Amino acid sequence: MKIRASKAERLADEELMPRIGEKDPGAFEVFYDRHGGVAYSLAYRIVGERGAAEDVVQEAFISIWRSGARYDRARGSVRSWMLGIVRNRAIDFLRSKAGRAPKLDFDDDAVLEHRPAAELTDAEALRRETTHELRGALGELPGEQSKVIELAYFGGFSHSEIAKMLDVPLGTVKGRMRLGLEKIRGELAEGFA
Amino acid sequence: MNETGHDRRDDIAAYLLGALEPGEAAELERHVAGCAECEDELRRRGSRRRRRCAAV
Repeated sequence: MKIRASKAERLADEELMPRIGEKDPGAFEVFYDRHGGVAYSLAYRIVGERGAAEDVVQEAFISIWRSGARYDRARGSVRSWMLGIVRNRAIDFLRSKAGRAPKLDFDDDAVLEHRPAAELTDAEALRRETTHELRGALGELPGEQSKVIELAYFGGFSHSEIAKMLDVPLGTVKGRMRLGLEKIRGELAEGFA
Repeated sequence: MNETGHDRRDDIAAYLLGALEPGEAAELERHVAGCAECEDELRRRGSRRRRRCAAV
């Protein structure tokens, strides 16, 4: 049964997926509105090119439109599943460019214009740094801190997924993120002083 | 621990990295909207970064 987007907006992701599997455009529109921004941010962080990131997201969402019925809630949240598809597409893109290094500089506007103004905080500011600078700053951190930040920032994983991956408590993951971010802030600020 | 007896700095860090689940992020946003100290923490971090970037 087709539903209006306004009604679909009230549905949880897990409820949208079967409708997307039935090719319901209203459900897919809501799904895209809800996750398109974070999908683009992740793709852009991986491929480093605005046009390529848009292509990656488009391909990922077309894939989801075609295969929405294959989502299995037993394997995690819809968001994680969707980001996994985006991540794979982005990595495929980088592989297809074999022999040509990916562009590493960030285009601030390309990232910022896809994000709500309310989210212009540390994470957005971090995205203004070049990948080289951020990687350099991450390299100065203890491994346990850089790992959780890399998995979240470049991998798009949630803190609960990271906790499972590393087999540490949730609070430990978030604590390491905070300590790492505080040090990165100091590192980058010092570098530009 | 801040003056109101709670410490959401770890949650805020995870939020800034996009690592909270959507429900948790929404809950934190609701909390921040009603908590001057957490709102200040979030804004302070953002504004400090933007000031530094602007100076580059």
